[in-house]
Amino acid sequence: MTHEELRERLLELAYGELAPGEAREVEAHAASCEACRAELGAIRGTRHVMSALPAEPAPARGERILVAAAREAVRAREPRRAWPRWLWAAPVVAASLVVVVAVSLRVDAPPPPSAAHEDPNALRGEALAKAPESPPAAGAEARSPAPPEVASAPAEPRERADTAGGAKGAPVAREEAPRLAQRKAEAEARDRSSLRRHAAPPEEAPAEDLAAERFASAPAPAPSVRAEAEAEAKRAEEAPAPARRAKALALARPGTADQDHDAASGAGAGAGAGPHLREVITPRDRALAAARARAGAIGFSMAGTTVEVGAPLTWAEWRAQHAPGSDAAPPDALGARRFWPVVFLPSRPEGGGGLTVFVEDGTFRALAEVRGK
Amino acid sequence: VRFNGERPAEADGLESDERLMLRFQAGDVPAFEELVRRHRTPIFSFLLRLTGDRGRAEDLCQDAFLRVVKAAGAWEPRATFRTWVFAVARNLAFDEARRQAFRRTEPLDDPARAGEASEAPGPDRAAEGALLRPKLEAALASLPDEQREVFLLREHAGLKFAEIAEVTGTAENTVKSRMRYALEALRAKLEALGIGPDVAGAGERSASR
Repeated sequence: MTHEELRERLLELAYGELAPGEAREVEAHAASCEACRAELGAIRGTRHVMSALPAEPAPARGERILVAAAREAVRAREPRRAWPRWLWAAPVVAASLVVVVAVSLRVDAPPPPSAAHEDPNALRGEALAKAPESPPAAGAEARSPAPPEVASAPAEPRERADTAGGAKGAPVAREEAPRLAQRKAEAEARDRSSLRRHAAPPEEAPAEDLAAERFASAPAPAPSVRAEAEAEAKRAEEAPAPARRAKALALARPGTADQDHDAASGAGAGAGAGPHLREVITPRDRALAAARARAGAIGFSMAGTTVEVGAPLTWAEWRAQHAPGSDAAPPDALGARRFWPVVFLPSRPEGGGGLTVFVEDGTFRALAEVRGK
Repeated sequence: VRFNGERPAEADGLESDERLMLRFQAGDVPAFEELVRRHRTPIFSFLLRLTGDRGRAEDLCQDAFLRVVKAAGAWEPRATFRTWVFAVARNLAFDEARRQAFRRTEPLDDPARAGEASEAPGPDRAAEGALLRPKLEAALASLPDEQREVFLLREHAGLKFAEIAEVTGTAENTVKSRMRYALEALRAKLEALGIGPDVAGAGERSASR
């Protein structure tokens, strides 16, 4: 090292930040170089004098407040952790909040045998019937069988009547239909009227209305519904149409009308409930997806999970990005429409390959879900 | 003194700040108390000498630890806890300073200010401290803000130059330059106050870590 380079390092030598070999070299130079010796002496001398200045003790009074704040913060974190567990115990709430059709398929699963009509209840029934057989890889978490309300709560009697014949795999749903038909009808009436109110732009109205009817979830006012769920339902009904549209459009890219058209055409052409369709997504997953998507959050991170809301895609586009080479058929509920993929990526390696929830539009109804491998 | 065989302890037998922070993250409040006990005085001391205002330093110090409480859930052990908490405190001070023009209220050599600073001398050094400390405080207070900041972070917070660069958001070379200027200015100031490097009493207290 040159004199200049060595001199540059005097400061770090004085503060013990040099590697041992370098320190010896600089020290040796300082011993022989007048200027460097003087400079090193000045640094050490000043440090020495200034070191007589002790720390100023912090006033004691603040400490108790901090500890109290910490205790409060820990307490406040607890209920939030318990929230999903609560939802888990009462899936009816989550289901009525979020989902009409929640199916999952493996990306590499064979295409389903086609059937006459798509029927959310059929998928639903199939899902429930199959659930106990779900392989652990797909099922992930242990789940309790959903109460019967879940199966048909989001459903619409009119459509059930239309497609009951085609609902081959839905014995559960059909058996429950009479019992719940009346309540459904009420819910449907209220729901549809509110949805109509929100179908603001005239040129989009018919398509959107159709899609909305098919996927409207009835906010069944079960007595166990929490204040939050009630507030949510209220908000959905009371929110002024422009605001909801704006929210929806904020996430959309140009071509919303096309999407709605796709949605409409996909409604009649969908395949029936394939045997590969299983419900493997917990209510918690759905609630989280809906909550995050509703907030419009992008790159959200919570408790070791990254959630991303992507741009709207068709199934083919999504598949090309995430499962190149695969020719897996779209989940029936998806059809040819565009959807927003909401991707959950667990940051823990043992968390698996993540979860993608396909959300219909700005009103955030989950259409389908795919478990990563 | 080691607590038990299982607990990974550092050389001095204490649990590391980072482990304490992770424990607090998991809901362990006593772990946070220990962090407060370790760092509140260094942080307060830093803020007091940075701002020259006891009341403000106290508020900022509380704010900094409340930030720690708030951010605990999202905290990741990327940097050392010490670097992080000093960065939090420093940024709070500068944010506030930006709001209300960063200005010391008293002139640098104001004896009143120097006297105030010496109100809590160490028990064994009370006599000489009464003479020396006000002068050292005055010398330190005479430094430009950015030099004083670097000096305090190095000498009192014990951060390395690279860590100070992180805290202050400047290049490491800039940090070292500021430190050189600070030391040079301090030396001149101390000399002007009649304090040479041979001043007795400073010897047994070393700030080096």
